[in-house]
Amino acid sequence: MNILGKSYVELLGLLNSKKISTKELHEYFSKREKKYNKELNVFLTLAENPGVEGEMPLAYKDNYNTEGIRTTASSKVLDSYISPYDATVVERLKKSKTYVFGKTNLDAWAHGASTETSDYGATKNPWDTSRVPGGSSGGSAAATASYLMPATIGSDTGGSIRCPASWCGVVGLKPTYGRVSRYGVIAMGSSFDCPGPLSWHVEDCALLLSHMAGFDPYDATTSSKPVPAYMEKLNAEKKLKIGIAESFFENVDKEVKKKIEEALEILRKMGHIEKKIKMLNPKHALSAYTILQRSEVSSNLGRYDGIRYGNDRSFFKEEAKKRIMLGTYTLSHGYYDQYYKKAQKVRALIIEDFKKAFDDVDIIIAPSTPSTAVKLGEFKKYPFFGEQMDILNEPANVSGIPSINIPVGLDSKRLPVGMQIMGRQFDEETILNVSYKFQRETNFFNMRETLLKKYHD
Amino acid sequence: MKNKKTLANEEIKHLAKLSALDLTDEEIEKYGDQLSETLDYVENLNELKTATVKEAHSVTESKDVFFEDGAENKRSLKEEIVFRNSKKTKNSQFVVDRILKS
Amino acid sequence: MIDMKDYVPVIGLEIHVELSTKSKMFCQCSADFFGKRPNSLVCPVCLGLPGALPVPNKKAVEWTVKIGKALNCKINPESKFDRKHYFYPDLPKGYQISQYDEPIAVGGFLEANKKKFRIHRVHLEEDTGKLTHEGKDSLVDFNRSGVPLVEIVTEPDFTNSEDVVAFLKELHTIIKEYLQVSDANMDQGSMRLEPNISIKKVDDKNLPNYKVEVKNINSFNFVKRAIEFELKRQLELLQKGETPIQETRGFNEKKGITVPQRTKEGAEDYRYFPEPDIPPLSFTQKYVEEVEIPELPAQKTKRYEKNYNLREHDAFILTRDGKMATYFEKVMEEIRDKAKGQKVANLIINKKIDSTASVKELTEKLKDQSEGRKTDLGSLESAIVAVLEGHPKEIKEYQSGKENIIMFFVGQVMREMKGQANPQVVKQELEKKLKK
Repeated sequence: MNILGKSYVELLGLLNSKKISTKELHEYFSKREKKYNKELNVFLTLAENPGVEGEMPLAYKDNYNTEGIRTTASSKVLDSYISPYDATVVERLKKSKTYVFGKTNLDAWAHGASTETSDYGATKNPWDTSRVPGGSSGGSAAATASYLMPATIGSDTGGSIRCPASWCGVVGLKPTYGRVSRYGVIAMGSSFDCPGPLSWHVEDCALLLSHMAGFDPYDATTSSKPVPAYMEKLNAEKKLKIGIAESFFENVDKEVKKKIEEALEILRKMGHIEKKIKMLNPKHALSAYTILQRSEVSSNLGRYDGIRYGNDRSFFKEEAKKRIMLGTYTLSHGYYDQYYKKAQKVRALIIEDFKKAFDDVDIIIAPSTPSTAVKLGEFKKYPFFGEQMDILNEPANVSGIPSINIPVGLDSKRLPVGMQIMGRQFDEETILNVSYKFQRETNFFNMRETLLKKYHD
Repeated sequence: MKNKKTLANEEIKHLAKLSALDLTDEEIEKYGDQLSETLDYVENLNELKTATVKEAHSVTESKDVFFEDGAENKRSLKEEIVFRNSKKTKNSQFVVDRILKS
Repeated sequence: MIDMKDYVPVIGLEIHVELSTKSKMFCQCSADFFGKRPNSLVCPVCLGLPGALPVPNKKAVEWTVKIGKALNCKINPESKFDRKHYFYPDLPKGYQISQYDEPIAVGGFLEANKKKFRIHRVHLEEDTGKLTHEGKDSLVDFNRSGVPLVEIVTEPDFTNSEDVVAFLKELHTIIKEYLQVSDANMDQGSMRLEPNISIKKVDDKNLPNYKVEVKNINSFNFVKRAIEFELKRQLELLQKGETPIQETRGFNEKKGITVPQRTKEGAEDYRYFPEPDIPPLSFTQKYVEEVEIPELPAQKTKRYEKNYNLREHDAFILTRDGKMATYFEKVMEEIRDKAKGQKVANLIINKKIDSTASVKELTEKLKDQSEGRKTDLGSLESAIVAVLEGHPKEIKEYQSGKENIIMFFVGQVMREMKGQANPQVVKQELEKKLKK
């Protein structure tokens, strides 16, 4: 049976009809891990036991608590930490017939956009291993792109699913804040963190989201809105108004712009209409996000004192230390109003800005990242690289709306270009639908087939 | 000529103390530069008028989320698990170097 | 009481009360931690494990509203939790979930010693773990971590230790006996007190420019001693021309003195910000109105004085104990004789009867008491004969119509009997004899 490149949905179908077994799947992906992980550095930990028959393998970004399995957030502070419990997302996916195959690499504490701040070495971009996969869910994105896993789970706080999905050329979904429970996900920015799926196939993201989503009594910020049947809505007929804001195309690579324009042309042919809208410049979202996220980070990392678990605070590395200190500053006496309070007010403006835009249009399209994947080491040139790379992703995090990255072609360096489709709060249905139809129409320009030639069995 | 750094070394030292982080002199200098640059950038927030805007504490409009007192505790941790990841314990308690009070 | 010369004390109180809910404040672990094996009542939430999130206990919030209402506070229509940051081994998250600028209740008052003392605010937060010391080590137990804690802050309205103690006792009675939301046990730490003490010149309209906080006071007795010591210490300094240092001091019960605790350079910067993991709280007028509080001790005391003609002192004692007060009213309801109020009160207060006794038993005792001991009819006969023989003139007056002279005879017989007789019975027997 040829497994390479098959979607999670497809494999699940084969598993359910007993045309393939969990044992076979586990062996298959274990073989691929042995073959390619050394080069790519995707997995930090492999689970000891394969799943029970009938279960699908799934890999989680290593900031998800997985009971009995090492969980590090890619930081030596938690080097030998064994999770005492499962995150709600893990528990729900386990109930939906999956097992934990392994934990994937990330920027330590999810601080970054390149996976280079991991204490366990950087993950490489499968398209060009001299480049970064993006971050912070770089391990998950690279694993998905190189098909070391049929699908993976990541988290998006300030673009951490969409950026690596964009640079690795895969589909990555950031759901609405509150759609999916954060309980058990090591907290980075409490009012921003969104667990979400990555895959080569939109239908996989729809299926996984339907298993993950919904109110959780252990997370007071989850929504009690009913969870739509995302799979059923994938094929629905929709004619949408697409909003294009000029401010989201400033300082964007020429080639990236070109590929987005080509994708928009395809969407137009599919019957959707474009409309120019005016939106606040993303630079304000970048600033508000940097202040608020780092404030929350400085608070959330306060529990790591080495007393009850883990190593002491001397094990924090540079990026974590810088973020903690800036966050402490922006919350401190005398500076709170000028930074934290001001950022919260701008947050209110950005939320309003999107509300207004969605009165006019159904989805908003923009590049996910201003460029394609950068070279390893590039991040050192920037004072706050992680946030700066994600300037176009952060508006969605600041306003809480859902956004999905889909691959829209390769640039002249043969690197993936990613396009993000933003939707109304709790309207994952629409952005999944548009993405699914786009995939059906274009097969994402055969990017999957192209890359998997390199990562053959 | 380089502008006066927004965050002076003294302030970095103070922040490190508040955050219970130990920094080398080299780190203090280096971080000071980068953090100052970051703070300079976020000044762009002042381009937006917010005098009459109410802060957004959250993106959700949720209110009044509770649990019922006395609900079953499904998350209780057994002793082995409580101490599995800790370095030093004694008489079922976590151990720290003695805290000086007065 | 110290002679404050031309100074007056300025004292405010910060009181913490542990709520006796079943579950902790933000998780379902048991809040009944006293005496349990260390670290046996913990979960990822109250242990501060990576990835854990808080969800508030509904009852703890309701009970805080109750306390606010009982203290005549305004319940804020909107409230929220905030994070308060500092590092300490017994604080697992490195921050305490508390309330900063939008507490549940503000602006109330409570009367004690016939004076009104203003309440600044009432808010809800979580308790920390417990730190103990053993040789070179400090040991931490997180059973108490996350237990709901209500903080009550008064205005600096107190000017002496007696008022403080009276206020605390009234508060204690309300919280423990009436609202029943806490054991409020100062010994076990379910009620903690920190007075802020300073002194100003009598004619100074401003608050003093310093204040001293005193910790580690574990009983009502110690409250008085700690305050008195502190006032004396501060007065001496001021009279020398010095300003007492603004600091936190600990009360040493063995020596009865306060001693400085380790001072921190500068005020602590808690870096409060709104708790992002918990949506805000809203209290509609309807909700606030529907939160039931029972008749409070002050009202009950006044009602007993009025309706049952009790002495203020006795009404006060009865209302200190919920069971006692309930029993008293139950009895009065059944015997339907308001005039007996004081007598019933006496019986209960003097522990001649306890609240488990039936009303019948009580009315029996009542009869016994008011009617005195069982009268020895033999001795009575002799006493009456003796008295009548000695007062022929008065017998003639009685027989000629001056009937109320019978009371004179009763008195004489009672004296003869040394009070060991029932006046009613005496009167009856006298009348029998005199009418012959």
